[in-house]
Amino acid sequence: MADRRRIIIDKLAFTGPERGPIEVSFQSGVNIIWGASNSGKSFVRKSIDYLLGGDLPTLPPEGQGVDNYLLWLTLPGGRPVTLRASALGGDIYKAEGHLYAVDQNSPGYESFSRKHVTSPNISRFLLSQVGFREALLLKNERAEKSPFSLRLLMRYLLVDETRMIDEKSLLLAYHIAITSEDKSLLKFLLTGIDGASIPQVRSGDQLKAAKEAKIELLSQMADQLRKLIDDTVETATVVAELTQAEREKAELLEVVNERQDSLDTLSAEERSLAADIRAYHARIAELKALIIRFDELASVYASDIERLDGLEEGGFLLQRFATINCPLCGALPQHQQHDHGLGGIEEQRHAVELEIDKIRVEARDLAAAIADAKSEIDSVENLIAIAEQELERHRLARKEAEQQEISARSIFKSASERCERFEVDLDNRQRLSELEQHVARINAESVRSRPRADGLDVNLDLSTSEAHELSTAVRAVLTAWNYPGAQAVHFEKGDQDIVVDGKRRRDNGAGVRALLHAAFKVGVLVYCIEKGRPHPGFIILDSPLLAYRPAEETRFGDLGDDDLALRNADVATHFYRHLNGLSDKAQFIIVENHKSDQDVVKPYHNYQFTKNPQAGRIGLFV
Amino acid sequence: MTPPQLFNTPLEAGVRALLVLDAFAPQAFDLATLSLLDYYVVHTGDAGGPPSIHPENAARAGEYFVRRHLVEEGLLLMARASLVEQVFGNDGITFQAHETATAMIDLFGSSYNRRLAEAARWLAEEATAQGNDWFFQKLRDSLERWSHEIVGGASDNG
Repeated sequence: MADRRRIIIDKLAFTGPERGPIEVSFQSGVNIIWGASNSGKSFVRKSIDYLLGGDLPTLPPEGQGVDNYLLWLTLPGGRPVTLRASALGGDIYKAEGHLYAVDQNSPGYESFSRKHVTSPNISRFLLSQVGFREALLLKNERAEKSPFSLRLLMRYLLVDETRMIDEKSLLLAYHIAITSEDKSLLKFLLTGIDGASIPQVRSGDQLKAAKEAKIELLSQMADQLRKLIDDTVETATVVAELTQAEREKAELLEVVNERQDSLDTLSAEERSLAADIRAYHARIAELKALIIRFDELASVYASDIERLDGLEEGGFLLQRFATINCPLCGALPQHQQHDHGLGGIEEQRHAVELEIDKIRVEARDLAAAIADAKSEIDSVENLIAIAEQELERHRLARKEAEQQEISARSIFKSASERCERFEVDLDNRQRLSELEQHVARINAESVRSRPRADGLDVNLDLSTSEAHELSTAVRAVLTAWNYPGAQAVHFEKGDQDIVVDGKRRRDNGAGVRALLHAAFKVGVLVYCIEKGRPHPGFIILDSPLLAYRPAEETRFGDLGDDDLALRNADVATHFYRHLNGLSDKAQFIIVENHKSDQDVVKPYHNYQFTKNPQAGRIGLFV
Repeated sequence: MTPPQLFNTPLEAGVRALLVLDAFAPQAFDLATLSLLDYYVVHTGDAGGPPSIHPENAARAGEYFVRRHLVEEGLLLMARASLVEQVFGNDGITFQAHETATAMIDLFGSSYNRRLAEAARWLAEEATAQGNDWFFQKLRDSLERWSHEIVGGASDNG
């Protein structure tokens, strides 16, 4: 529990250009400010409230020259911050650390609006520090909503002397009667359930206006539709026509599909014919290239034969002339060969003759191959001519089929459009009758003069077990305070207040009313601590011990038996002892407007404003 | 297709050299000049003359550079048949047609050999008309150019 997220108020200070800081320090647990009246005790409470977003208090004459209010806080995690506000009002300024001046150059400087708005504000800053989420509270029984804010919560953190003894419900801040907001605030504090999920309900006048506007709008829509509908034609006739048109449309769709299929078939055949023709052309090109190569080869053969002829002749004549020119051969009549240094010429000549024969055979084969290729070209060209005729026939057939398909499709399209027109007409008739029924229904609805959100009270009231647990917490506090008859205390849902022994709080004297109020607010804090619900963890109570007022002070009614019973039970001593026992979890600042026994106050951190220049601190500003 | 040992033999080169020398007779040429003329006699088209006897394939200029040895073999063959004479003189070794060469050439009847003879005659006429030195230099230059193109270099004669 020591690591609870809570806020501790460390110091309240006032500064002015020509006045040193005037301060009041506080610590965790109990802090008491007591003493003479009009010494500035309640001004301490008002100033703290002001620095937490409350109204600007009126500075007492002794406070002349003060122009800034400062509040030192310790946030969860031991984070020290200072809040500053001007004595003239306006925004609240935050800086990190404990400082006597806060301006734009201070560390972590931020400017906060006093209201819980979208821009940075003191409410969201502090609430989020202690773990509250953004929540929406119900404002009234029509489920209008307002955001949960520090200002709303303040009644559980700070109670002034007027509210302390007020006979009105503890849940209230300033209103006269309990509203949904007051209930949903307590519900949210104790359970975390807010009204975000409940839809808002409009007021009677709003509802009436809305009803008329709705009927107006629906009637206009109906009129628009009536313009489109030929009311001389029965709906049944339209249905029959639609059925007929749909049958025609289905038949036409079949025709369209058939024609599409035959068109597809023709197109496919046409494509395959065109492909055949391309293949034939490719074959012809191939053959022509082959013939060109063959022709080249033939000319090589021809030139080789010529060249070889020349060689053969040269070889033959060379041998002859060598013999003619040979002086030996001329002298010898014998037909004997003798070498004229021309060895191998004869063999060469013979080889050449054989080679010529070989080439001639090859050239003949080649000529035959060329002839074959040429005749193949002729026959392929024939095939092309036939295929092209075929292709032309197919092309004409396809054109025809296209025309047929287009005309079938356009007939089908107009049939579809006819169907659509009938469908739209029927749809309009259907919508018109729905609108007419709707208008009749709205007309039949009666508008409640004070509409409520369904089940709102059930949602906002504490459940029996929640009320019981809260009662238990308050009873435990009163028991600790030694309150006579604490056993018979419980929180009554019907009254939204504390009932003691069957007697409502408001039916008690002022002293008891104040103490019960204090017990309730402390009880809520204790409940939150025990249940682990968020709570800022400090409470400022102005005059909870009113029972200790002097007998001659008749402002709050005569001292009754119940007031005396409190004194006799030494409630003040037990009160402080109990609160101080919560030091590690909470902080209490108690303004004592009446002298309870000095000995009761002394053990605790306390300020006495004496109004006596001879003794102690005269007052807040003195 | 055709076995290479039939073509590009000393016999073939010898017959061509004989025709060239006969056309240029009585002039004598060294081996270098005869190799040049051996190329152009079958490629007259490349010299701005009548259509070439041999097909104009792209690698033809390469022939010139590998034929020198073959041309020499052919000349020696013809010399052994006493159709060509070797002359050893101030110009080193040169070759000259023997007078019997004309008689043999007159007996050529195959169209290939007739065309060769005509091509040789055209070369001789051109050389006479333009002057040997000038004409042969031109022939050498164009061969140079082609051989550059074969190697893949850009023409330097623009």
